[in-house]
Amino acid sequence: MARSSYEYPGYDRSGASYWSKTVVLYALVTTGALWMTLPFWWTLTTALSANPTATSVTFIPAEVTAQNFLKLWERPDILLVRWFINTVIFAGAVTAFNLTFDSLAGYALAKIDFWGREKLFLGFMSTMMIPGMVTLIPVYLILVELNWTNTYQGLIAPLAANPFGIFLLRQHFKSLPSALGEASKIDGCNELQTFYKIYLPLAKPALATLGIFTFMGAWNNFQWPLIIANENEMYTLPVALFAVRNQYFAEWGLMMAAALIIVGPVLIAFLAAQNYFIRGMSLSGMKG
Amino acid sequence: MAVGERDESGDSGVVSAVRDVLDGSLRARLGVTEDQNNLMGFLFVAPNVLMFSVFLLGPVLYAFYISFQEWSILRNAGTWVGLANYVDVLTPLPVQGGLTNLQLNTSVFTDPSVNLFWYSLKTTVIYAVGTVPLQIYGGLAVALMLDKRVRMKKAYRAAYFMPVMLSGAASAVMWRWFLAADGVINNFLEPIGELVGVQLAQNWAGNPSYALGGVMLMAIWGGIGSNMIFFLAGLQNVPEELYEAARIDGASAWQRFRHVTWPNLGNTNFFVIVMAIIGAFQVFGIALVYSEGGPVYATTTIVLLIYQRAFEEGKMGVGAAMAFILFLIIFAFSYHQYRHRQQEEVTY
Amino acid sequence: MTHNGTKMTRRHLVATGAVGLAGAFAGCTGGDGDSGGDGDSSGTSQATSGGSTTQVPSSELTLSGWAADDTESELLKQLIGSFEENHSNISVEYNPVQSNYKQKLKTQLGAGNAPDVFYVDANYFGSFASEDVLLDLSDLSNAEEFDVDDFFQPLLEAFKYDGTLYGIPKDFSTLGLFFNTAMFEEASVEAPETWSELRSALSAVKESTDVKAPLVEFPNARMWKAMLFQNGGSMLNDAGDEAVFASDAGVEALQYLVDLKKDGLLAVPSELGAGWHGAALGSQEVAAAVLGPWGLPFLEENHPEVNKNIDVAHLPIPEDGQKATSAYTVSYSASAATESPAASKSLIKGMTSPDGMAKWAKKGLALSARKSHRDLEYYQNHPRRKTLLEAGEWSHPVAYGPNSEEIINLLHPQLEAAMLEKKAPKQALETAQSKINSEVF
Repeated sequence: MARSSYEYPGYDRSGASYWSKTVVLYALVTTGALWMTLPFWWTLTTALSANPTATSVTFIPAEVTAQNFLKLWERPDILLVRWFINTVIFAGAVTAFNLTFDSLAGYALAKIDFWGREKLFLGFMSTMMIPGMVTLIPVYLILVELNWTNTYQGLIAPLAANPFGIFLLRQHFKSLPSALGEASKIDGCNELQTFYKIYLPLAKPALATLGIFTFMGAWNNFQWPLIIANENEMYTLPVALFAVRNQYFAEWGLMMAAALIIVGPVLIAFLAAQNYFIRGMSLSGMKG
Repeated sequence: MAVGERDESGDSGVVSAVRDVLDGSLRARLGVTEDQNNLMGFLFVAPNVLMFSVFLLGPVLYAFYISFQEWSILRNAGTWVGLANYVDVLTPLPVQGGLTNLQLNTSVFTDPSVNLFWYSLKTTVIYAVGTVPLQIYGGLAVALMLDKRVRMKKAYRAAYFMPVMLSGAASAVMWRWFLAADGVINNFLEPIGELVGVQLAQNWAGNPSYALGGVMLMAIWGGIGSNMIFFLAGLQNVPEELYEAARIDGASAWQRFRHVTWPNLGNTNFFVIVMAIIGAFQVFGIALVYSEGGPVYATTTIVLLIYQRAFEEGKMGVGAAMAFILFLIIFAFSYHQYRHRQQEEVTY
Repeated sequence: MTHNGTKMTRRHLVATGAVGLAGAFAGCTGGDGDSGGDGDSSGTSQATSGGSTTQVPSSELTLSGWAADDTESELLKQLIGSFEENHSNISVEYNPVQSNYKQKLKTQLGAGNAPDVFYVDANYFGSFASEDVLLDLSDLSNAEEFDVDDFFQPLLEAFKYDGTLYGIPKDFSTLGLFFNTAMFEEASVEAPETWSELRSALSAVKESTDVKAPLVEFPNARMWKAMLFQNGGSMLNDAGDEAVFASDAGVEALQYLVDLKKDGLLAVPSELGAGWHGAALGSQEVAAAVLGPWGLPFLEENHPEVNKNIDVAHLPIPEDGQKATSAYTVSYSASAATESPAASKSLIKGMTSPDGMAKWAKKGLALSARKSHRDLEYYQNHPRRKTLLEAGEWSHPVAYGPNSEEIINLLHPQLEAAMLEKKAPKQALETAQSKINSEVF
């Protein structure tokens, strides 16, 4: 952190004014935090209730039962395991491709002096301006033509590269000293070896950040899987949740249980590796 | 974008000339020819160039082409119809009459049956105006509060960030329940309403007047956390000496914020506004899952309309035309913001 | 035709710079079998009329549809099994598709890899038929013991386009008045037969029971389409090229529903705790609902006690009105690009033959599309389903030609606006009608 102390010089920490300010500050922050977190609590209590009603789930649930989860498990049209695996494959592959492709390009744009490098970088960056909606229809039609609807490759391929990842990794490789590469080349390493053995290990923190960020984005992605996956077996969790919603609308216990299953893994991962997530988020803010 | 240009200007002139000379001598020392560098460079970027050509640039051109077609998904082929899709989408225009007596035709914004595109554009603008400031300044307020000496700072930060982790689909399903006629929110509102003698509990999702409000509430809830993180990062970059100097000058808390914090957050602010508005114009998933665009088109945003036209009704040509118009709107806005930002920077 | 489509798209791709892809989808089209298909057609009439398989060359068919649950797909597999026993040279592979079926089928047809035989909902049948992607099934209407006249006429008509038959009804559903007899007894009212009787029955129920609302209906007023016809109105004119539903008959029907809602006699699901009519009846939040046979298995399984009190009557009609209800139906159709048209027709015939249909209808989710089946033992034992089956005679399928989906997409929000009291019924219907007439026709 750039600033180790949050105290401003001469900060007065005594007197009624300080205390009343502190109380107001805590009251505000806590109210906001409750607004942010209570919905998660309601989701949990509803999912654990047999007959959820507003009064019975608001604070402490009257009875706790796993019945909604069991029902989800038993329904033949609800393929929890399959959807979970689909989502892991989808988000995992998207992340793997992004890390591979973006680190290759980021490295080249930072460390290899080739013809047209800066223009290409500008070109990559300007693709960030294209709203996803514009390419949705043509990409879908191309994949129809390829017979890739309802396939993993159809889900994954259009998301396999991302200009933001290139930008992030290029900045990171740029910050690493060029002398390392020169030394390795004098030792007889070729470009690929230099990249793989010298620079890539040094980029681990940036890769982890980008990886988590990409994985989370794909895990939560709704629009693309909705369009390309038209059959139950190929749904990812968010699309499946939409299908469950349409099928079991107003069976709130069931729907909240399904929502929890999507939210759960991401939330647990977040609480375990909070700093990485937040770092990824603030790095994405550095684009500007 | 701003990034690229700044990088390039940083590298330009004397610095880059020197670098070129050094690179050249290095190359000679290592025995690496220019051709080898070019080849390696191209090989390294090839996967990305391929992906971007096939899934971004090619499709943009293809979309432009499709927007002039009446496309049949059943035959997977189209017929050329010229500008007909654009005309269909945009007429009746929000203005009517000749050039001399131009009048505003507000009915396109008030009645979805006159022109759904303009109506959904209005819906999207209301959504953007209602959510973006609260997302951003809510995020800033939380960041300022948490930047102070607050106990359990990490826990608070996690709490505010939790909604950000959520898929839009999940959050829409959750809020649909909280805002149901017999849901948790009404359970809170009912007694308050009885106390003040007003009917506060409503059928939030089923009533066309309130449905969009629910979507907006959800977006604000999910948007504050990420902006908080951006501003927390931005606050780290404000030089402490400036606060010190301001304090010595006897500046009040508000003056310190106004003259030290705020100007130094300029970059973050610009980025956050642009991203939030671009995001708001593309809102889709939460509106679809929450209320499927209804009731009576109340939550039909532009992207939702494009989705319905293209993927539910199979009118790919009309969908592509709408997508292009949306592209132009977003582009014009981003460009305007960018120019505005540049002018601001000059005045500092 | 499929060929042309594909070539054209390929050209588009080349033109837009996605050249690299073009090679990869060579050979994806189903059009290659066209010539083989022509050769088969001579044998078709014998194969379909004789019911024997001797003339049909051995074929492997794919059949695609959706299944509500495991028992339904098991039943279909049994039917296929017995079909294969009788047609030793035809093998059928069944690929059920869960949800988003229409979207998937459309893209398959577009890409030229559609199954040979598939379900088509009447609502989008017209758009398929008008694009020439379905196989002409006229042969079947001449097949002797297939007895095509036994099908309810309105259902058969729903699968004709320009007078040509492109689909055979798989089954169908009608809307009936589901009501809770215990609650009606408590209010001492009988099953209503007219609109005014319905209204007074609902008022009586509201008075004497503690239901949240006596009747439930969706905000898009699903039952209005039936009431329109009961009141002497019609969706389209006889030529099918103009919407005429904003007639006095239509406005009066919608006004009737809106008044019920204003007077607290009708609620929309979002005002209740239930998501749909079946759940609302089951939880006893309402005393009545206009619902189809798909509500029955739900009630039987999830609310067995309440189910005992639920009876089904024909829809009430205006005093001088005519009997009418809405029908929802699905066909077996075949792809125009199938390599085995004869075998495909043979399969459709097998599945919809009197025997096949009877087995299928026992599932109880939808009704047999054959009139004579009202005498089946199954329907004697299931009087509620029999009531719904009888209504097939005077049913109007929810299907309005090649632009049916578009018409409905334009109509529903206006009905919703009227039901949610955002617009007067007359204004809402007129808006929808003029919108449809200017944009669709």
